[in-house]
Amino acid sequence: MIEAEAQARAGVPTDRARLGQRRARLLRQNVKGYAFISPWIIGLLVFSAYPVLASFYFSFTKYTVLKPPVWIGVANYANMVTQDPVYWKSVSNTLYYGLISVPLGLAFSLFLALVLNQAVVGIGVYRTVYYLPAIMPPVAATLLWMLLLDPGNGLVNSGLRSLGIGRPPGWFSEAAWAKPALIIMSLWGSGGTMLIFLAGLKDIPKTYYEAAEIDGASAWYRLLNITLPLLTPVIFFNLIMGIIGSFGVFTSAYIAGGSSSGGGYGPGGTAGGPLDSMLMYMLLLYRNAFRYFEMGYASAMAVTMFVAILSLTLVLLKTSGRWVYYEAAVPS
Amino acid sequence: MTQERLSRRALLKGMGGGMAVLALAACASAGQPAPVSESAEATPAEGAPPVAPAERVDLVMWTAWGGQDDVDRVRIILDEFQELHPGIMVELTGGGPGGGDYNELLLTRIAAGNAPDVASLFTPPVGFAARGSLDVIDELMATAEYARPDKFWQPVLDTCKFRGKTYGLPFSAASYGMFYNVDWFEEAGLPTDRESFPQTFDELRALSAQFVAWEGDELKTGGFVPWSELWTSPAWSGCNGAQWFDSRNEQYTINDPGNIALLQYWVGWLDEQYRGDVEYIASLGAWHTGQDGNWFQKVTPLSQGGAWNTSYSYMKYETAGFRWDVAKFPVGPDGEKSRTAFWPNWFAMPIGGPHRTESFLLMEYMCTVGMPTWYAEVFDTPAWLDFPDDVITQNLIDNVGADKALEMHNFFIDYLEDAVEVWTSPIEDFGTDQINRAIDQVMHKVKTPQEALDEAQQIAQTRLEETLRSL
Repeated sequence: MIEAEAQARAGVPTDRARLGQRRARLLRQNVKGYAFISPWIIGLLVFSAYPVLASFYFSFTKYTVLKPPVWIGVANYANMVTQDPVYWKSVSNTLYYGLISVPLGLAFSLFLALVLNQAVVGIGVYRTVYYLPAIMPPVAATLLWMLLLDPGNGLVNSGLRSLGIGRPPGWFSEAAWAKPALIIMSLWGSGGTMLIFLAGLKDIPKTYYEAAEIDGASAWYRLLNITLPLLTPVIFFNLIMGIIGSFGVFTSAYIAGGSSSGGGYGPGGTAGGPLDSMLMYMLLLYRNAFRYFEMGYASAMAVTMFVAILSLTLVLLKTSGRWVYYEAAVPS
Repeated sequence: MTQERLSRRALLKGMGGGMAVLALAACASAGQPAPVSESAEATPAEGAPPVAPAERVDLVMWTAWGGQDDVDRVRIILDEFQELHPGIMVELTGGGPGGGDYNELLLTRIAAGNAPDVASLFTPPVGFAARGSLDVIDELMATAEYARPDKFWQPVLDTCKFRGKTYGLPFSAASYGMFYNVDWFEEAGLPTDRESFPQTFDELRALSAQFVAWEGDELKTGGFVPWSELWTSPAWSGCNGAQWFDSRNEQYTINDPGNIALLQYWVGWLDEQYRGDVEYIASLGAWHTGQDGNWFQKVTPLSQGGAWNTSYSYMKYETAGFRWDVAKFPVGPDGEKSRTAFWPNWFAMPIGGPHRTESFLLMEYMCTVGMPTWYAEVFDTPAWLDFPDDVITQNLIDNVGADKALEMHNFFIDYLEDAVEVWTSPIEDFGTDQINRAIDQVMHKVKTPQEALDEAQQIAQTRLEETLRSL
């Protein structure tokens, strides 16, 4: 203290003053950076953080959007698991879809990536062709697949009939086939995942394959012992993204479920197909929010889904150490 | 490479200016419709006296119709309105600003306090009204020139009411009926006049059986599929002496014995004529009167639909390739008379608009005096009782000829007299979903009619009571 006073008298800056000066200098240096990222920060706070927090609050209220929310505690959550006649149906539909479509999608995308990783003439064209469906608007893609899977005149069933199958599946008009139809549709849009796999494949050093070939390893052996282990980080990433995507499946179920005749509920768009076979979690959420004016309940559903996805992601992250291989992480 | 230094002041100035421009742009665009078709502001009609800015009232109107033809038709009605009221400028937006789900847009706009002054609705006003989002118009109707309370079909006006107050006006009330292929009937040696059409469920079922033809496992031609269009279920329920909802007592009546019997009857029909396979029948395509439906594709001579179907261009006899006619729904074993239902379009005024009187004038015009302009092209049975008798939908005349068009026009309008109560529940969509889910389960034989309807009744009534308590 005495020393600091003496320094001050002598015109020498104290430690505190030096710290302040450093902070001011840092601020001056960084102000432009902060200024440039401020639109994004503001956007994040206003359009993402606030809605997330607001919906968390609304999940504990009776909120119709048209009137101020009324606090009801955990009633929405209680109703969800004990009262709602279709809540668990939507959960099981979504789990069914996710458990089948995610691994199937990963396998299919990886297969495509392996095929498109070959050095053949015009490979760029093939890659483009296979990627194109991924950028097709989901509504258009769904309508296209509804035509293809039309039970009577669709190309798929016509093909099956020509193979001697007398009564092919009714697809969206049959409860047992509706979800498989949605899964088949989802595979068509695997271009994005395929592209990430392709990038991962390009990242694997050729020397490994050369060494394995010299040792007499077959293609299958090389795939199992070189390609797949070195692709595990990419598989892990795609798995997480696939799970998030499967929980959020909406557009295809919304369109196909709303228009399925016989089992559908007719006009209205959020029908869910025969025996609610296409009533996905997001569809039920949307239905509650915008068809029944139950925004509080829909918020509770959204929060529940967020917690479920977060938990699943954390579990995967926790267990990833056992099967995801990061080259850099291996001690020499 | 030299880097030009940007002073902090200049940067902040630039940012501030940019933000200001963005804010102004946002303010300017708020409430302005995206260019859907030609939703430009209405201009006073030619020859109309110029309006002083002080006297001018600007209104924003949304219509749920987004198609170009429909928006153009509304535009014409607005031009007529403009001639009568040169001081009221109307900005029209078809399909809601920027597209997307119309109800979603309207709901959020109402919640945000920047709703249009007048909006058309495809879903009943009662759902919005019960939650306090629409203006009560009873006192405006009491002194109205055209839209007095006694000037509308009461069952249709009831769809705009909640607990005795009126929250909107019906624009149309298209009733439903049975459609049949006259040529096919002739070929089968059946009478083709309307009076000879089956009067009872049993008669219709017997008639349906005549057209059902299986070839091995394949249905070659079908008869009637009563459960195919669930939106007509209130009419079927009414024909069997029941109803789904009783607004007077604020009570769902889903598990009414008449409804249980109706579904039992349908299951018997499914078993008898369609081998009990509801999914196979559904996989054969839609059984409605649409262009892609089995009726139009001549898979069946029997179908059901709304009055509006009759004025679609594909329904022209020459285009369809067969003559067709309409008849009443048959009466069930527990019913007393043939009943129809109706699907209206509505107009309403979101609450809080600054120009109530002018908004009501516009809404009134749309639903009364302006309606014939719409009706001239689309056979949406009018809900207004003073609708001129001499206006017949031109498209209907083109389709079936002048005499037949007049006959059909009268048929659907008169049939409204026998309409059941429909669209009156404050939880209409929720209730309808429960009913349709129950029917779906019954037809799939997952549950008995009693079980499915009991469950639907309990769920719908519980939700109704919860909702009413929370209002």
